[in-house]
Amino acid sequence: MAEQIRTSVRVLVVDDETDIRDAYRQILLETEVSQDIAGFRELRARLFAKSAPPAAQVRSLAPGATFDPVFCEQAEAAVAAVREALAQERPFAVVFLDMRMPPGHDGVWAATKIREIDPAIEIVICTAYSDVDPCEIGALCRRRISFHIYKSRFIRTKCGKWPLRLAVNGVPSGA
Amino acid sequence: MNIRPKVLVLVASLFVVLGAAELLVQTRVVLPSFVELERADAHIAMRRISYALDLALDRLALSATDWGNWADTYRFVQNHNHAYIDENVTKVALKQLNVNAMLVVDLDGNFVLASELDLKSDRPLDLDLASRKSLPANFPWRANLRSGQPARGFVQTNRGILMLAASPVLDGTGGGPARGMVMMGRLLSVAEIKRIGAQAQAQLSMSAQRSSRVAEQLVESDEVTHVYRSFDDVYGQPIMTLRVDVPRQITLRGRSAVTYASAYLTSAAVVALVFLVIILNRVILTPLARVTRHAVAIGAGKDLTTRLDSTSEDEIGVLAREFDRMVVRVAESRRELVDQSFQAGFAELARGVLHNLGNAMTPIGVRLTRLRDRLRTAPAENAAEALAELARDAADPARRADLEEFVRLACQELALTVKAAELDVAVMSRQAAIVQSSLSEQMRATRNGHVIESVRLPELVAQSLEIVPDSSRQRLVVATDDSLKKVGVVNVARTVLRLILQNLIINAADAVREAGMDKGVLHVGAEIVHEAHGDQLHLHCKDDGVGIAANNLERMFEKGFSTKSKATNYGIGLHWCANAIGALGGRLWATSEGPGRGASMHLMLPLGARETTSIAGAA
Repeated sequence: MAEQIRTSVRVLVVDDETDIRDAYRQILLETEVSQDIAGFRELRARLFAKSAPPAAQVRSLAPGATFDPVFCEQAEAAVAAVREALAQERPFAVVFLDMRMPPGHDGVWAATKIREIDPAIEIVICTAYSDVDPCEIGALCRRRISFHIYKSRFIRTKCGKWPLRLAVNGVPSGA
Repeated sequence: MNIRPKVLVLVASLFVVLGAAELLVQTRVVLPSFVELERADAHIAMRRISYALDLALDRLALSATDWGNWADTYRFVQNHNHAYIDENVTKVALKQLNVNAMLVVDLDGNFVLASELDLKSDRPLDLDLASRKSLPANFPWRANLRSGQPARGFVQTNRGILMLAASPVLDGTGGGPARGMVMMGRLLSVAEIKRIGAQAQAQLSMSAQRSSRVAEQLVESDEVTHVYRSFDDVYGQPIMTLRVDVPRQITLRGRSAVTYASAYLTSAAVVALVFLVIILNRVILTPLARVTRHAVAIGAGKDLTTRLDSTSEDEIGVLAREFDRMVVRVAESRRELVDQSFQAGFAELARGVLHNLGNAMTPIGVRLTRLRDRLRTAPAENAAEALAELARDAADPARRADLEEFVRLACQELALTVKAAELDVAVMSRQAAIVQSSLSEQMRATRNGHVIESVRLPELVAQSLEIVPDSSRQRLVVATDDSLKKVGVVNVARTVLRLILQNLIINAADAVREAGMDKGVLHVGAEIVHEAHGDQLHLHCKDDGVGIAANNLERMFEKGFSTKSKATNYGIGLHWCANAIGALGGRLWATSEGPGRGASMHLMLPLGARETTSIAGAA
């Protein structure tokens, strides 16, 4: 496992609530498996081959893939982070945007700005508000925006495709 | 000031002004014209007196002319023959002539004959003029002696004023020359004055001679107009003043006529005023006041259900009907506004709660997933197996060493899992507290007063039917009886009652369907129940559906209790209904004679006691 080439997926998370950012952190940041733990797993597999849970049940993440999340509280900071990542030639693959982030701009504003400076980035807007029309936001940002509303249920809109095959157990909902 | 007293004052003022004008015309025009007429009549009476006097003098002059133009008299003046006197100038002749004095004067002014007589007593009068020998030297008619001109006038004598007429003495054929003149005189006695007055049809009297000459003077008292006029004697000096008394009949008649006319006009004005006031009241003022009172009541109160219902075709009727239409539109708009705000409030409340709960639940979900994964992958079972295998002591040494190492490492892993689980539980506890706090906050935020509206129950039932799904509405005939109308207007939280009724109608439709019927009837009735602590509205809905089992009558208001499938479970539930009506101070209960025999839902709501309470307890 140590020899595997580990690719890092750069993810930008924008939400004004600390608890939501923490939830993202729980999902995206995998605890580094120490050498001891790796040895323990190998030993466990050798001793109890039948009962060991399959690796896929633990993580469905592509082998060797990991996330490199960056957290922002406001839309303005998110736009700045995208611009900086492009300047460093380390662009984000996907950005998770909250819809409403008082006192600053909202997610639509951030999505529009981010789309202007990075046409390739996948944008996911997550909101608990049901009064937001996905198509309207998609039209504002031209295309390629996916939506996620509360109860951890993904809504695949006609406005865009699900950006990443994130083999995670869930994507936090927030607003 | 109201328009009614204003109009009445205006109309009354108009009549008073007209009355004053009429009075002015009477006092300044009508009555003075009567007075003028009366004065003219008085002057005419005096003129008639003058004519009568002239007539009396004319008669004297006629006698004088007759005696003067007589050949015997002509000769007598020349020959003074006493036989003429004895034969002609007798008492009888004087009486026939009705004269008191007969004088024959020659051309020198000397009396050739002077005869006098008191016609009543046949005795001599002792008239100073007749006892003279000749005419006074300054007697004005001396000039007439030779000119042969006749003359007449008044002369003052010792026996009173004498009417005197003179005519020249001619030869009997009217030829001359004149040898003198014959003078006939009659005393203007009281009887004579009366006779002249009677002849002129006036009440004549002689008043004391005034110092100055009076052409003609009117003196008016309340009942009589006195007209005075002075007459001159033959010398041109005032000799007597005659007075004609004219009763003021014209003024009296005129005044009474004017009084009658005024009384008639006043009576007519009063009658017209009364009629005008009655008609104004009935046609304009009362309907206008009714419209005004209604508008003020609508403006001041909340009751938009009352109507003027005017049938009049005039402008006020049109105004009343237009006002009714406007109130209907206002009431509809108000109801729609309240409904929309109620629904919007509900939606906003739900959005806010969902947002807060979503934000709080997301970390819980994530932590739960992590915890589940940790527990699922925790090596507890393998550790137990390893310990069991070690206890059996049958393994080969290498495996035993591996097992011991595994147990050691498993303990470390389990310790880490427990530690991480504690962290997860702590986070979940905190988030659960946030959920609780958020709910409490929402509960507090929803403790707002309901809008209390004036409602007619038939309209409320109709409004409730509007929000019932078509499938339920088509299955049910909602029959309302007169009891709803008799209740009239009630002040209630209409939006809440509407939702409760909606729920009861849906339940009744479901009960009908469950009874296997295509169509059922829901009888809705109501009455006001007078209780010691205030009036209550008792609203009851009886369906002919499947009925309710006795053991479910109480349970059906419990939270989560439903005999219906989720596919047909519309509405907001009897539990909510019971709580909502409870929050308004009322109660909801059910009665049924058993399965298959229909059911009745009863709603009791206090009126006016608790108008603004919260529905929070029902949410």
